Amino acid sequence: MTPTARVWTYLTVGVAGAALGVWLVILWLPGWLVTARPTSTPTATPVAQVGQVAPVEPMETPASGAPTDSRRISATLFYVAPSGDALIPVEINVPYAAAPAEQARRIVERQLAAAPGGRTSAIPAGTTLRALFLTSRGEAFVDVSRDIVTRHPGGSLSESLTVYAIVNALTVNLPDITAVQLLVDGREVDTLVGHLDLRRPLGRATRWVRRTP
Amino acid sequence: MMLLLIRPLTSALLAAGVLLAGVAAARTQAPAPYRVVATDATRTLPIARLSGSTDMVALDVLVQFFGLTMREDARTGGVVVSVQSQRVVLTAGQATVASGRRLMSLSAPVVKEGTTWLVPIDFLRVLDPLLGRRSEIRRASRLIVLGDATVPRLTLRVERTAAGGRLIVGVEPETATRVTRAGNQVTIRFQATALDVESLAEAPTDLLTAVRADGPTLLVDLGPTVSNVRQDDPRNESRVTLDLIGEPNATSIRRPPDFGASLPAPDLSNTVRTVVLDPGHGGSDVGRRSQDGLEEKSITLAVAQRLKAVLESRLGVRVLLTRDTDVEVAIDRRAALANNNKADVFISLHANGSPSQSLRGWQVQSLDPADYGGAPNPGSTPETASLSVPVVAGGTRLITAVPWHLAQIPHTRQSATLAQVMATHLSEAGLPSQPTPVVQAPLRVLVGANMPAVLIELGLLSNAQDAALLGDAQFQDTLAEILAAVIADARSDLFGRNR
Repeated sequence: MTPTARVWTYLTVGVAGAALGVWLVILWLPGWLVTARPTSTPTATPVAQVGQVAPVEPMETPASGAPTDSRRISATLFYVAPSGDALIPVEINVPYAAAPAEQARRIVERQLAAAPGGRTSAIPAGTTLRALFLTSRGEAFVDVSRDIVTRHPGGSLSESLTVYAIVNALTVNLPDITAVQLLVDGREVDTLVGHLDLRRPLGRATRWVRRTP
Repeated sequence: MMLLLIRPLTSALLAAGVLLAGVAAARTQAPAPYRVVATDATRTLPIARLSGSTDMVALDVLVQFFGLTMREDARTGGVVVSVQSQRVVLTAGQATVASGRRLMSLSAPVVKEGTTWLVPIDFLRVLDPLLGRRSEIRRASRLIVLGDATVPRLTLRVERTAAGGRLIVGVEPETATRVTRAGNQVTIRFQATALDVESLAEAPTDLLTAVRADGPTLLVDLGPTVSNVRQDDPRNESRVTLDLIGEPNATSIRRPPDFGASLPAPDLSNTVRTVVLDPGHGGSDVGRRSQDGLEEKSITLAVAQRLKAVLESRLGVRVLLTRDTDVEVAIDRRAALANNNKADVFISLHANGSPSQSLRGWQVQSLDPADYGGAPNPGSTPETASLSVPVVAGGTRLITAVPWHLAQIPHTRQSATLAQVMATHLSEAGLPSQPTPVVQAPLRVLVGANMPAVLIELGLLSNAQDAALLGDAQFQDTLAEILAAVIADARSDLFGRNR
């Protein structure tokens, strides 16, 4: 082997080794990090903020879009208390998502879906999530279908339970979200059925939450 | 003779006492009698009691009233009413009566209490063909019109104009009139037997001191600021319009003359003068519906109309409704009416609903300032601005501009006080409340109101007991009495010190 040929061989092996290193760092390492995180610390944690929490009800939640990632987090969702004048927190598993907006979407989708056995949803059946946006100021804009108005039974109490089930589901589970504004069919609304002012984002309201059913 | 408006105001305490006594007595008192108007005479027909919402009248009283005869039939256990040769057979517990060969149904069953027989007031319609005349029962105005008697319905309204004011009398059906004036009194004479007058919507005492009906004439006592009266469109038989023209130099409004009341006139400067009542929903927006199909919009309107009548007649308070028919009203227009009329109190009336059918009771709500950036510092409002405006005499002065969407914020403390006063009255009257009787929430209809404002949920239509009560006229009257007592009380609590 001539000296020139040897130099070329070292050069080729060196470049190939460097390329392999770069490939490992870029593609493999982040995947390993992401896999490791949710198992140790779930992103949506502040369950304790609502106080005493009902036992976890493991629910199969076929989220729309069928995420390839099958991991789940435990989230606090809100259903009508048996007394009928407040909400109670219920722990439910929802699909995990890395991005906050995506996680918010999955929490709201689960909150809009049918209530788990023995519970009553505060949100009219058939209401679907059209879109969800987050702003840098910690506000979430939740755009739902008109069913939330047309199928609503009416009354300020039922309206408050509907609105605060969604507002609390986001603000309690995702600490980065401090206020929630509901949009109906993509538009801002005055109220749902004539009572609560929905023209600006509403903060979490624990006065509607009863800790013991 | 009916005295309709503008009695001088007595003290708030006395009014509250009378109202509370009225609430207590409401259940035991006999309902108001009917005025029976015939072409030859006007008489009074007493009502024995209510059966549900139907007025029951003693049969012997009715028989005497119309010169009929009655005898009990011991064999069948019924009673027979005879008109000349024709007979009507009534049986206790039955809502149908046999008149000749015909069976006719009544709105409530015939009742036998001891030796007294009670029949629903619509039994008159059974007698109509036998007596060869017609009768018209107007339950709301406690009036029965017999035969060819004509009793037009009059609705009174007063508007302010640049020249002074205007009294508008709606007449239904159309009736010819003649208007004359003698001194301080205007007489409107109708070609009719008697008059059926609804209460006056607004009563500015500087323009009118009293309006009353005397047979077929309506007597209007003019207020101290009116110097001239002109009839507008005199040929219109469905409406009498009187322009009340003020004195050219009338700068101050004088107190109306005392109407025989021996109590001293109260100081009007520290009191509730104008109340705006907001019957929730309306038109295509029916609100909550009960299982029996009772709609929130009709309950709120019925209670508002009753409350208005009580407030006007007992407290002499000016009362405006955001709607007085079944129409949809934009949410901003509700508070706007209160702001534009400088109302002292705004009360929005609603009926609630819950996912739980067992939950029942009232709840009083006021605005939560926390949802709008927190409570204001004393003397300032968020986002307020001082504007410099020119004045007539030259120069400028500063006025404070309150943003429309936050007008309620400076009043939230007083509104919460009003909510508490209301809750206390409702509790003391023994009406069940929701587990949380008073709450604060970001209520859309209240946020634009520039005065103390509350929203009351009268009950839960999702609960069968509450729904039955809310649909009952007597219960609606009871609610009106209680809420009127709240206004009487609020005069001292809300405005006694702070204004």
